[in-house]
Amino acid sequence: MEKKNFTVTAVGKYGLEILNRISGLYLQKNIPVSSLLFTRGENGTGSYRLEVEAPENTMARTILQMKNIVDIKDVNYYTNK
Amino acid sequence: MKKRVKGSEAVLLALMQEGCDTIFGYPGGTIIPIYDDLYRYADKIKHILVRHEQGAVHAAEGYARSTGKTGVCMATSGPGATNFVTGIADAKLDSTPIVCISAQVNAEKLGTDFFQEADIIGITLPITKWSHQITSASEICETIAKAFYIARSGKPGPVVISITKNAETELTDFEYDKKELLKEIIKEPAMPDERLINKAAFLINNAEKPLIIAGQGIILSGAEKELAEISGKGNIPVATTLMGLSAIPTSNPMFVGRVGMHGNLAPNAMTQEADVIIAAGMRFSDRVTGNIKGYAPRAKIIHIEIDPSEIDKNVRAYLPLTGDVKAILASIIPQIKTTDRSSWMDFAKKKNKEEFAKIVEPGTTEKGCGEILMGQVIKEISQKSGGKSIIVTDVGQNQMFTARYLSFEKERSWITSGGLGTMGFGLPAAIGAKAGNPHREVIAIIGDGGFQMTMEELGTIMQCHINIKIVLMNNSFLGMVRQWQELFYDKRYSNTELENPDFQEIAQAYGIRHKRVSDCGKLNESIDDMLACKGPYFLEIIVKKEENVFPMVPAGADLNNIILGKTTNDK
Ligand SMILES: Cc1ncc(C[n+]2csc(CCOP(=O)(O)OP(=O)(O)O)c2C)c(N)n1
Repeated sequence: MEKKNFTVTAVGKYGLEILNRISGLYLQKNIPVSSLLFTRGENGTGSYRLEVEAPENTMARTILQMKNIVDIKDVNYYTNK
Repeated sequence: MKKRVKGSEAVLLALMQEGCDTIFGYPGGTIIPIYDDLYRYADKIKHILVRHEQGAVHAAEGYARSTGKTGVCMATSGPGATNFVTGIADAKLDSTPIVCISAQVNAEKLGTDFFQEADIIGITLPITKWSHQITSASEICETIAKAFYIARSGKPGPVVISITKNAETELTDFEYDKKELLKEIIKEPAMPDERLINKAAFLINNAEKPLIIAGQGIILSGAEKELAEISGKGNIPVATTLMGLSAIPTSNPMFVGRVGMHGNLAPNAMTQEADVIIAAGMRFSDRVTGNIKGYAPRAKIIHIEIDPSEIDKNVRAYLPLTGDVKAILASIIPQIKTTDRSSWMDFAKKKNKEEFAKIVEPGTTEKGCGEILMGQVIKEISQKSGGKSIIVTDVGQNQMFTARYLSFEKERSWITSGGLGTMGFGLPAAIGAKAGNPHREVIAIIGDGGFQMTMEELGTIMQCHINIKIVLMNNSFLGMVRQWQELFYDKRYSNTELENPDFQEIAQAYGIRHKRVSDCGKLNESIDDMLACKGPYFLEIIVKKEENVFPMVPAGADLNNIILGKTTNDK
């Protein structure tokens, strides 16, 4: 299936363990990540931004799995083209 | 009410607030402070001293699966914590709510390769639902409240708490207001839109050949009554997955058997014929579907599932219903019309008859040679226990034969390692099941390979007087792997034959009553003796060495290619 470039953004609690859960998910699913930005916000919140390459349907499923990470509040993604 | 206590005591007080009455664990240097307080609280929290931390996790799983409560296990840092890993992975794949607490070196020593330091949070990140390292006593209440809530809410799973030694010894204010502690994470369970519920009812009512496939989600959400009701009202046959066994009594006339790789002929064939499949609390694992491309070609699939990420993961759902399966079934039931589906049930009966003639009858009847067949053993146990005992299995042929021939009349009676297929699960999980159900008979059915992976837990049985019955099916082989070698690798038995110790002497050494039976004529009375025994019992049954479990859908094949037997003398 054709791979596309996606930008994924997630917001939730700030924490390295959450960052690791996110990166671990992409590692486990063998999805290449070309950039990962992790920022601490106010009141213990965190935002996570990834540039990845994957087929559309793999991406949709991965997003649902990201939403399952406890302490992640919301996840969005869009294609860069 | 606020109370000033040490962190170690706060841990125990918080566990009690969560209803924890039993901990499976093993002490060590960094966790001594908690064990010291356990000494004082021995009358309130029972501690079962296992012989290996893997056993503690499996026991917590057995406890959780048989009671519906959250299981708790405890270990020291380093090797204690890393010994947890297999059990945690097992609980993750089988959605079992457990809280695993391990101690850790002092916070200021973290990352210095201190004696018995292992980064258990890092190690277990991919196999936990949530984890947290407590480095200050003030975090204890919130972390434990969160851990229990997360372990059992939504799709249940394992949670790891690592607690540094300084947090155990520091003083803290203990105040346990659950509502307050959880206010940031409590979520209302999702419920599908009413129109989707109506659509599901419409599809079901208009189906000629509907089939319910019930998974463990039914048991986890306590939806056994709703399952029987929707099936009974609509005359809809019910199959279960391996993990869904005991969600419906085997004697229910609508029960048609178990789907999957070693499942029954009827439900696998019905999957391929059905026009509507109601997949309730199951995840279409590869062991259930075989080749996905050929799976359920005619069916519109209504997938009822609490975890949105399971929808469309393996099999495309025509109508996904995301939410709690109990609530969803309850909302569909009033709209279900009673429809005559006797010809569809006749199809099931025909297939069951075929399976009986080709597999069940020969697989459970002695052929005059005196060798005991695994199927025979399970049939006898099933009849004698009346489907009321809790049956715990290990992994391999022993597990698949038990799943085939055992009858269930009571819910939460079936405990097995499904997703991870962990050999060594059976004995400790049975210990946990008995700890949670002192008044129910617990029977562990185990192969000689798997038994040797966790047989040290006989020590736990001896010391804690755990009254379980152990049935060892000894075929001197890693039977299931041997079966694959026989069927798919031209009988090249590479490293699957076992030279075993004298298991009777082992049981004897642990002071457990024991017997070995190899003669078919003595099987019956041996099982009677075992069941009549007041304490734990170890029954070793020498079974036929090279027996195969059928039916079998070869890995990756589609369900139509089910094998009913091989062409040689096993047939
Ligand atoms: C920990 C672990 N190691 C290896 C396996 C692979 N495996 C699956 S079944 C099996 C054979 C089990 O043999 P035994 O316990 O004697 O049971 P039997 O199949 O003979 O009933 C093996 C090795 C596994 N499932 N778990």
